[in-house]
Amino acid sequence: MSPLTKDTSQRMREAFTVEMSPATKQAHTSSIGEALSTVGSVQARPPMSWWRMRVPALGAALLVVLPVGTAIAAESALPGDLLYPVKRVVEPVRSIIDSDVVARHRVDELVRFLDAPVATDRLPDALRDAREAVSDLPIGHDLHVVFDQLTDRATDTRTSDAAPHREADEAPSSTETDTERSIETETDTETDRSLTDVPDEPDKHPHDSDSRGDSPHEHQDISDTSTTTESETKRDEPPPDHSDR
Amino acid sequence: MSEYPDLDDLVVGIRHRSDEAFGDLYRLTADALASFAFSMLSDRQAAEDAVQQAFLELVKAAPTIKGDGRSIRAWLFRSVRFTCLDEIRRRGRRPEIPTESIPETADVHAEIQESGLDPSLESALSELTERQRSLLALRHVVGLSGAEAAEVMAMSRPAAYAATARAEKRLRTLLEGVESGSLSASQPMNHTENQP
Repeated sequence: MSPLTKDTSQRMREAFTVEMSPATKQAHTSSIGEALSTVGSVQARPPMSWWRMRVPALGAALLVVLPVGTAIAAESALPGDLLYPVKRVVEPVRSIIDSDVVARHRVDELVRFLDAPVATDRLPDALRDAREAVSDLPIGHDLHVVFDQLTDRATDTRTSDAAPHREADEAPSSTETDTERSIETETDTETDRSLTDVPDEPDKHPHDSDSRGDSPHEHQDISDTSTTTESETKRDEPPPDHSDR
Repeated sequence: MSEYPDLDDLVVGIRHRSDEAFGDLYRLTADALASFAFSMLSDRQAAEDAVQQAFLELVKAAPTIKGDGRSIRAWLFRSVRFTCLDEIRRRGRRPEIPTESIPETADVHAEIQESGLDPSLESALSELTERQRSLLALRHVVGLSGAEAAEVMAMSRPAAYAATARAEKRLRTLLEGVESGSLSASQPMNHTENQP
């Protein structure tokens, strides 16, 4: 039972319950809206697929077991090829060093399907996989632009599906060559802070006891920590020595 | 069943930084957040600023938010609390007022009365530590459950329950002292004891 009387509890509610004025709320929502338009909308991180969850360990194991040549040969494999599963398994390991390797591979595969001499029913899957991979990249990464261009091409390809692929019959254009070149280019972009990965495990921020995303900014807690029954995380600064009076 | 189904519906929109979701979240939580901040700072303007700050921080952190409506609520309260701690610390860093410049007791009392605060209660609360004041505000002003208060304070539930009980006992003792006259109800609000 609370040592605080109902009267005291009621007094606290009456003393401190606030209802902000409509003008204040309007001002707040305006500034929030402004902040949202400045930051821009962001596609939320897609849920972890089976590949991302299980494959890193498998990939590391395969790298040890397989000859290096096999892994290299798998780099150019397309869905349906014998070595394609090897490529997908090795990717997460490589992505530790080369964070956009997955996106580059998916975009490369999409390009190759678009360039295929005959229509392929793998194009929709390739488009979807590329979209998913590119969405993980920071805003401003070159592959976003490349993917947008490829999407336009894919749309054109679909609409002219009934007719023979005149585009595929033509010699590769300079645009396509540029596209492939840009895929292979190592880009050095700063990760947008707003897309910073939050570890899946609980964020052990001193002020967090729960894994619920990025914590509000850290602060020193200036309160009483002299009680020994409280199992709290120690702050950087020594807390004031208070004891319950 | 979720405790905050309305907020649960907003989580996806928040992560996508949807204007509408943020607007709804603000509408559903702003007054409670302001009440909490006011109970920490006893300054309405500062409390309202703290609410705005929390939402601006949420805009930045939105894509990383996980969990349900309750988690977002706890996140916001935590953010407001940190902003309040900053403000308290900032006030404490102000140059010490020379003794002769301290306002007359009657003036302070008048100030508290003008602000609409409960003088005895405010005086008693000012003697608590920040942690104690936060817990009491979360439980008694905002009406959070013990588990929710523990989540906001980043404490284990047993620790939060124990700390809340101690804070309540302490407040009752202080109030009895104030109202019996052994402590002045017009004692200037003093958060400096909370400084490291």
